[in-house]
Amino acid sequence: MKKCCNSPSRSGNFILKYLAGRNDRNAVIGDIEEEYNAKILSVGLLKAKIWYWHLVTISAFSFIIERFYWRFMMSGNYLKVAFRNLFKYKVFSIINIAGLASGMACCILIGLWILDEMSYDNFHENGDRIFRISEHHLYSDSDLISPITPAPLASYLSENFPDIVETARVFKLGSMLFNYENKRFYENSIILADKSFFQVFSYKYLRKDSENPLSSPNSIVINNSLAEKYFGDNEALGEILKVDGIELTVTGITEDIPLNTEIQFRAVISWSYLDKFSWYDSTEWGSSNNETYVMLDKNSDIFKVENSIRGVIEDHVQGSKSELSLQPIKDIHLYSLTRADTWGAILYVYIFAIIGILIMLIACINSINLTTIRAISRTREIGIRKVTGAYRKQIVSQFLGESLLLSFLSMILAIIISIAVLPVFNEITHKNYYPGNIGNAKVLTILFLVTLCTGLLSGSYPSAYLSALKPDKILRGVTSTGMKKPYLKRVLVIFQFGISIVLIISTLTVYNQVKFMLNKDIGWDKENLVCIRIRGDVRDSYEILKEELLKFKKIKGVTASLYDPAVFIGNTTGIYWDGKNTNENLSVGFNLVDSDFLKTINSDIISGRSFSSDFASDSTNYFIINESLAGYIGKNDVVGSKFTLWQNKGIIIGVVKDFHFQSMRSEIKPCVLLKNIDFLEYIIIRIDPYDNESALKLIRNKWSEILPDYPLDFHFVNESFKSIYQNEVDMSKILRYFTILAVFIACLGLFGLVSFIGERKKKEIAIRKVFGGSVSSIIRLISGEFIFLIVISSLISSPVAYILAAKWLEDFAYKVESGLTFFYLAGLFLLLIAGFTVSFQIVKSANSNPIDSISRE
Amino acid sequence: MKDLTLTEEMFLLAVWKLRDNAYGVTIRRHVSEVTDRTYPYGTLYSALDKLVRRGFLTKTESDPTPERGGRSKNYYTITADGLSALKNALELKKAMWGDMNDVILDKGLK
Repeated sequence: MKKCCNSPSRSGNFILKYLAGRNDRNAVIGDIEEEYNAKILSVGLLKAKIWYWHLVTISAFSFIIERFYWRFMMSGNYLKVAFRNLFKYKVFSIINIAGLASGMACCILIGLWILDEMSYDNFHENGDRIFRISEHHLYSDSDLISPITPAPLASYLSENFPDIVETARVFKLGSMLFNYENKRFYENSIILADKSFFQVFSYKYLRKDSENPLSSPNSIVINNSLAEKYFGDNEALGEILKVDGIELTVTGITEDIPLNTEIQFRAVISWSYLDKFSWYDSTEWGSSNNETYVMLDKNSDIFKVENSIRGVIEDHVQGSKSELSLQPIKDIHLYSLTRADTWGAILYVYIFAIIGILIMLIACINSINLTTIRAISRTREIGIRKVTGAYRKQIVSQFLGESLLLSFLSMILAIIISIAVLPVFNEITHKNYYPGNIGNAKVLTILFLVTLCTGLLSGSYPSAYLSALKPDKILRGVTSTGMKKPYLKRVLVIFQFGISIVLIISTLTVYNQVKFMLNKDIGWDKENLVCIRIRGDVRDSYEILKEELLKFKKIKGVTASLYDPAVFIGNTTGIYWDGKNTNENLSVGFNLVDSDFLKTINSDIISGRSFSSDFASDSTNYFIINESLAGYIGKNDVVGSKFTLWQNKGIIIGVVKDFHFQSMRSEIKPCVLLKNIDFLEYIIIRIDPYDNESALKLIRNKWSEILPDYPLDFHFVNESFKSIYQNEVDMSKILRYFTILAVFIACLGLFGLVSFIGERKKKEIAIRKVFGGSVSSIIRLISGEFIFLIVISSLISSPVAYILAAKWLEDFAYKVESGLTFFYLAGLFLLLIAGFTVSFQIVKSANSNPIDSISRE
Repeated sequence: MKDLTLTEEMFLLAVWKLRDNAYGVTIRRHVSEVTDRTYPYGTLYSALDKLVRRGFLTKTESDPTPERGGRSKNYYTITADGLSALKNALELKKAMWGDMNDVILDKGLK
């Protein structure tokens, strides 16, 4: 032998190393090597190798058996016992799993929604360098942050600030009439954009006819589904589409863009489209129509850039007070400024995250309560296990294991539930999730973590409590240690119902506020008003249409205005009256209207007169103001006094009673109406309240007779009025569902608790009955405790709910009073529900035959 | 005190008999020779481990030696408890077998 020491095999060592216990690892490998070396001398290398591998194999197996087999046997026993318990106490198991599963399903859906909300505009390649410019207007009475900026801003920024490497303007047109051959439809989400649009944002072309399809005038880039809709299988590139009567060449086709972007478009029209409109002036700093996006250089300092552009608007517009700032594109959705009077999605993300956590907490508490209750009947099992040598650690892991099993079963059920309710959820949230979304890695990770936490949390108390029991006491029958007064359970029940009450009150508050806003007397009549968008050459036919329609009895009035009467979008500071403080920068709402506007929408003139077609001179020189503005002007009789709006110098001819023309979040603003038929955007028709159908038919017929080129596209004003409060309506709906769920889960828990108390007081009840106690006195005995618990939890949670409700309502200038009624209602409602839940069980215990309970002893 | 199992008894006895030279290889060889069965190291070490934990054996590590690839040996020595356990096992057997002898056993069921 050349060497005394041959090392047999690395892989053999490796196997042994991992299978042998840590302490003996070296000794085992050493032993085998020693024997191996001896074997080489006696029987030769080859045989020694064979012998070696044989020994390693059998040793490996013996290690496996010795180390793991008994553990498996024991876990198998635990699993068996767990399932037996699951089936033995069916009601408990069903309540427990149902509670956990509905809580988890709610978490899945909320998680899905939150992840989706957070993913908006995350996909742009240069996303961290793209910003939207927002303008902060500082008025003397209020301020307003707006994403709409003047047209020349973009080119000014890119010329004067080297840090800004690219700019893109986006003008959202809304819906337009598309026409190709005989296909004619209104299409929404149409935007105008600079030719740099596709360089700044990462939307992908499928096909295009040149390097930059938006650079040629009169070009349009459409998405794939529009291309298929209008051109079918034929090539869309190079075809001519008529959009609101103007011919545009299709120069590019994009993929359908993802839903999670705030720059939704189905077609992009080149910026030069605007040149056709007389009102558009590309050098005008005084009016704002488009959003401006900028892309910064890779190395530039955002704060520096922001500081340097801050005063750009003030420099160009005399007397204006405003500041520019940069909003990261990813923040647009969550911290929205586009819809000036919404909070943005982030608030809802927080609200629903909290609700998800609370509901999961209620479900966990349930599980803790139920598991503990059920475990009490298992003290004997624990006693036996302990006597036969189980360590405390093992008991703990047995019970934790069981509750983990339960929570994983619930998880499976939760996935099924959430898939089942997905359609309803989609409807409420206006999203478009499909079951595959639940398979998303992030959702599953969250779900897995929630399940794990739930399992550990709900198993922790019972296992800690049960594993501490002394076997001798258990087996001698002294099991009631610490269970006589289930303080913890009471605290948990109070907590559960407290959360439920907060949720109920929040739901009632939101619901009432929404109802209040939708039904408030708004100073005009929003019902039975039909609103038709004026586009293309419709304007030319307006007078004829009006005249023709008014001949019908079912048409009560026809007028037109710049804005939908539900929302006057425009605000201006360009007003002046004699005696106005020139430093004052008052912002007022305005609307340009046709003569019968106020009459048609049914608002009241309190002094002076309304516009009338009898006075030809009404146009541009006469104004009607609202009470609020009259208050600012401050004279006793403002009718007849001089007033200036922009360049129009004239006099006030009437004062209209304050009416709501913007969201009820803010007070009714000062407002001025001006008769001007050149800028009308909507035709407004009041129809017969008793016969909407035939009135609509009349309009339809007349319309297609006078304007055959334009399909009728109308909406009801009360719909657009409702849409102002869409967020609140949605929230009210979602809250309602969540509250029902929370109360449901809490009641499940209560039901379990009552059955436990019924069980525990079985003998007491029996003895009372033997001594002549009536059924009703026994019902009082058991239910008294629950009434007490619910009253306590109402007392504790009401102030919290009150503060939350008041906080939420703070944002509304017009709001319901969150009076005490809600709290009584919420408490009463819970009492009723809880009473209903527990009554069966209580009546059952109260009616039970005493013999069944005491004869066993 | 829990009684020794047969395997435990054999290994304990082997360690005692081997005195100063009781480590993995020698114990396994001895037991295998006497019983004419192969004991894999898994069985051996888990039995020894259990005996150490019960206080019947003590374990000391030797210096590493070259023929073991530079690894140390685990030397085992019996303790007083271990000895009395062996004694108990023997007593138990004697008591059980006391009123029996080979002749009766050979007759078997007859």
